Amino acid sequence: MSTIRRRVTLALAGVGVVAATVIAAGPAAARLVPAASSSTISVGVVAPFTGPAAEFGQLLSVPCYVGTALINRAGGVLGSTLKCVPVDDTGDPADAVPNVTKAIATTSNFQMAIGLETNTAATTIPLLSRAKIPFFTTNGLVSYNHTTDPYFWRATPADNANGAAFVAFAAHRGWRRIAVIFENTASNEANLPGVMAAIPKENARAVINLSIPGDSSSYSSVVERVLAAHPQVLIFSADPQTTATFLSEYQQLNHNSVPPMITATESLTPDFYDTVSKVIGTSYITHHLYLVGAYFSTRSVAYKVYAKEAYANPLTHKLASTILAVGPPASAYDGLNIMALAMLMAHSTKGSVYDRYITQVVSKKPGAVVVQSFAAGKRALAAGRKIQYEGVVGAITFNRYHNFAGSFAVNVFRPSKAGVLVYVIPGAEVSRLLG
Amino acid sequence: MGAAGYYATVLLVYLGTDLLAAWGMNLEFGVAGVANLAYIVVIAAGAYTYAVFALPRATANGGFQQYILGLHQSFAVSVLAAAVVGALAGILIGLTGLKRLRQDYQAMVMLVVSLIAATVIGADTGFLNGDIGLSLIPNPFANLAPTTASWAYVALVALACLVGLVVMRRFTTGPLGRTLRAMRDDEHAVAAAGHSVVNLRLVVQAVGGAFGGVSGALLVAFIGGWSPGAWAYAETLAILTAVIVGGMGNTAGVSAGAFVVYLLLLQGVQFLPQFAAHPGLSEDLGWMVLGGLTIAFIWLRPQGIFPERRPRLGIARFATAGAPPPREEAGLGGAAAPPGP
Amino acid sequence: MSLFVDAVGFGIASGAVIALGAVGFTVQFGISNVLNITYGALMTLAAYLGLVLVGWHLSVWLALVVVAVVIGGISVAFNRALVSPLVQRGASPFGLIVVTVAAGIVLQYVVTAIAGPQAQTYGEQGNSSIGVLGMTFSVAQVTIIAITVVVMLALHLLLTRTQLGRAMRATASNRTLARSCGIATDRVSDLAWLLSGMLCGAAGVALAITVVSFDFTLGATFLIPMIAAAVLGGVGQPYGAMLGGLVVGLVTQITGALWDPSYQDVVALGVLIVMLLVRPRGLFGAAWSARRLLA
Repeated sequence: MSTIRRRVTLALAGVGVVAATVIAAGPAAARLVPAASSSTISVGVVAPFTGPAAEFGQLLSVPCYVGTALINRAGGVLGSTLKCVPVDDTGDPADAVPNVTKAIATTSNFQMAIGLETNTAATTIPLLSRAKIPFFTTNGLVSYNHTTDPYFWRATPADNANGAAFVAFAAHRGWRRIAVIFENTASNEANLPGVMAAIPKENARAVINLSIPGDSSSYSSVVERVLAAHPQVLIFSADPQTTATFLSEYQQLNHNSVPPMITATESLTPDFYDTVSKVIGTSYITHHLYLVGAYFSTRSVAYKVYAKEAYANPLTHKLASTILAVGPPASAYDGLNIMALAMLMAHSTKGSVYDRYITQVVSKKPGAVVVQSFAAGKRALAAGRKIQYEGVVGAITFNRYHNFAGSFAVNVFRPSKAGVLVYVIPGAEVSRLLG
Repeated sequence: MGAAGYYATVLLVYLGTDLLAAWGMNLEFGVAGVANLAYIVVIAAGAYTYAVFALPRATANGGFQQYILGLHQSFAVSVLAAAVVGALAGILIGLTGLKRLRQDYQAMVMLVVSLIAATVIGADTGFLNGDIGLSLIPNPFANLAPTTASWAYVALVALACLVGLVVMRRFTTGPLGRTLRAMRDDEHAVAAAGHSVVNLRLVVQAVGGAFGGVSGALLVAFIGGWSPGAWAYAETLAILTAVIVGGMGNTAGVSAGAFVVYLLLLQGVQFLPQFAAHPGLSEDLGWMVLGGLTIAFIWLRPQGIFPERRPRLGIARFATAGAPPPREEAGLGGAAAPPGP
Repeated sequence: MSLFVDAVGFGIASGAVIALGAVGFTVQFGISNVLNITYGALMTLAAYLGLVLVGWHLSVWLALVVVAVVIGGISVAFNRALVSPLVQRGASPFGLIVVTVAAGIVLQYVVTAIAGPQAQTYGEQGNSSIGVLGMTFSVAQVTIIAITVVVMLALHLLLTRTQLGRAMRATASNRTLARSCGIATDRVSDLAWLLSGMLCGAAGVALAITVVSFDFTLGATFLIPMIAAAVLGGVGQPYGAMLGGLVVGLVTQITGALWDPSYQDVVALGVLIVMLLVRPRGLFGAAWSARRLLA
């Protein structure tokens, strides 16, 4: 009996600690005195760190840690150093609002942000714009293709373009009988309109189009239906967990034969490789699984700088291999560099001031030096040169809606678990399919 | 200062809508005795109703989201519609409560309803835009300067709470309140006194549902977006904890409970230091403490911090130690003063 | 038509795992009269414990047995520390269900805080397929079906052929009467929680094997079909739960095969609601514990 008492007392003590912390932190927060010296600029990583999508938060922190470490090593920005601040949007659009507002109100010198992914973008983006904090978002919502928000920047394609790119690659390979299978969650479903718009334009046919629930105990019935439709290729988008279950059952039910699968580069990770290769073998995963996403070259200087730091940094080295091949985190890293360089050009770290210089950091102009890292850009600016930043995602040109969608890359796995580029889909081709 | 002031308005709006929700749940559970573990669905129904009444047709914004209706109605009409839909949802739930199911069975049905609703809305993209949810939901003060708009909204929510308080009083005090409590504690006695238990119960359910509907509508008009991620079944537990901690059946107590759970606990953990190696830990902790709090209160003080005042000698609500509770027990049980070991 | 036959096979396979969990849930409810929602979080814990053991190069089937025993112990401790004292204090059924929901949430967040949010896998387990009567099963599925059948048989023998089993049935149908007949109801209750915990642990690991890749939502996701199965068969009845598991598995897979897979889980849940509202005694009526279903 006494142990039980103690347990309850412990639980209550926990409550007391929280309450005490809140009481202690409350007034300090309300006073709004910057906790650290004002020479620290806070970079918000607005992403879910709890809840079902908590993995996103960890992954999106990587470009922030990498970018800020490199910028600080290059001497920081106008005498200030950068610091990453996780802002938990929980993946719930309602819970996100107080959390993000709180971060804006109590984080000292909060001047840039990355993240703001699909699940909560609708409620969090207005909050940052209202606070005049420029941000590079990784959300794929089509609704922001024509935004007029001045603080909004996106250097990664919208989901419908992603979907169209899947189809473009299938057509390139001559696969016209397409099975379209998407998990019914926000991030996967968003690709579907692009797929369906592109299929008729490529004279292909969706022999079956199914939306499946995530994390089900069995997709055998779904697999049987797909088999009956005799597809040449599967266009598939689901979380890695669901993908592994699905592939495993497909192989089992089709006598160890699975047609080629086209899916998003989000799965281009060693974890996915390990799971799926354990489930259906390395031969399939290295020969028939195509991962399509925003193009970037792993040969560029920008990529080498990014990758080297990601592996070296103690905060990121564990996750480095998971995200290095994926476009959205790379675009967040580029965004960080672009915002920091814009601060240098504007001679101001204030969001409302440097925001207007962002386009100039990346635009082509006569006499400009092409720079592929913050350090190089800072040196060139100090020498009085004009610069054009080319990032991990390549040369960036923002349209008037602050969107940039470049070309698409098709990767396959190597037995080393890294991806290798096998095909590039030009951005113009994708636009044509959506037009 | 803008940011701190805006944070204050956000917290006030959330507190106001959480109060409405806690009051509504208290009406259903604390007053009518219906254990509604799907209360968050009622709130969600209100939010969606407001959204599809206030939004223009789905094709208007370039057709990037799909939803039904799109009536482009005024704020007042849309909130009213949300209240009506909330009330209907409350009645529907009340009807299941009329089946003389054991209370824990009823609770389970509601839990499952909660899960089904989220799955169905998520699966059908043409209905309320699936899992991506709705965005650009109109705010009534969108044309005002941002600071004025947010404080005006606080005033609006305060007004709604005031109206809510008046309604609550009518249902918790006076002859109606007494009848309802008596019904919760012993419905046969009330029926014998000539009241229709079914009607009484459905009225309370409708009002409780309307509270939830308005709560959802006011929240969604303020934040502008809504999706299944916003109404996971665990959210009901937070409201329920507010009711349990504060003191079921006691309006002031429940209000205090909402304050403790939403502001001190779930917002409070945001102020804990973050660990780079484990950034979500403090929020995880918030939910652990929330669960622990519920258990601790049911164990140690099931009547809450502020127990319901019993103006007259009531029928014993809490079973004595050792004996099973009466069959239609609405309380959480447990003797107020635990016997010594 | 062959699609239908296949779906029946898949239904049996996924129904077996559900039945394993549902029987545990139902046995514990039948004797202690508590709807234990923490059961879902315990299955999640089981899956992660299994992961640790598989990491130590234990075979998954051995891990399943070890985890079953561990979760059985935790289940007894959970009852002794939390549920049973609350029942003695006269907590209402609703109070108890709220406590178990809350305890489940706490446990789930503890598991997340320790194990992290990313998906995990035991790896491929016996994926080669076996054809039976035109239906296709994997070796792992057949093994799980076999485990389920053996467990059910053992349970049947325990309940009908042993003194202990009679004591359990007596306690389930009338605790007070059983106590006055000299049955140590507390010990019987412990045993019920132990058995139920073991089945819960086994089901958690079996689920992790079946779905191949899982995360911390595993238990919460599969608790509902298990409750559906338990209710379908009449809560408190092991045989009913077994059949219920089968029905739920079949309904889900046939929905997925012939209608929209998005709704396969919805249909299973719908079955549960209809049953609870229309026929809470379960499909097959109930001799064993009908009285506890209605207020």
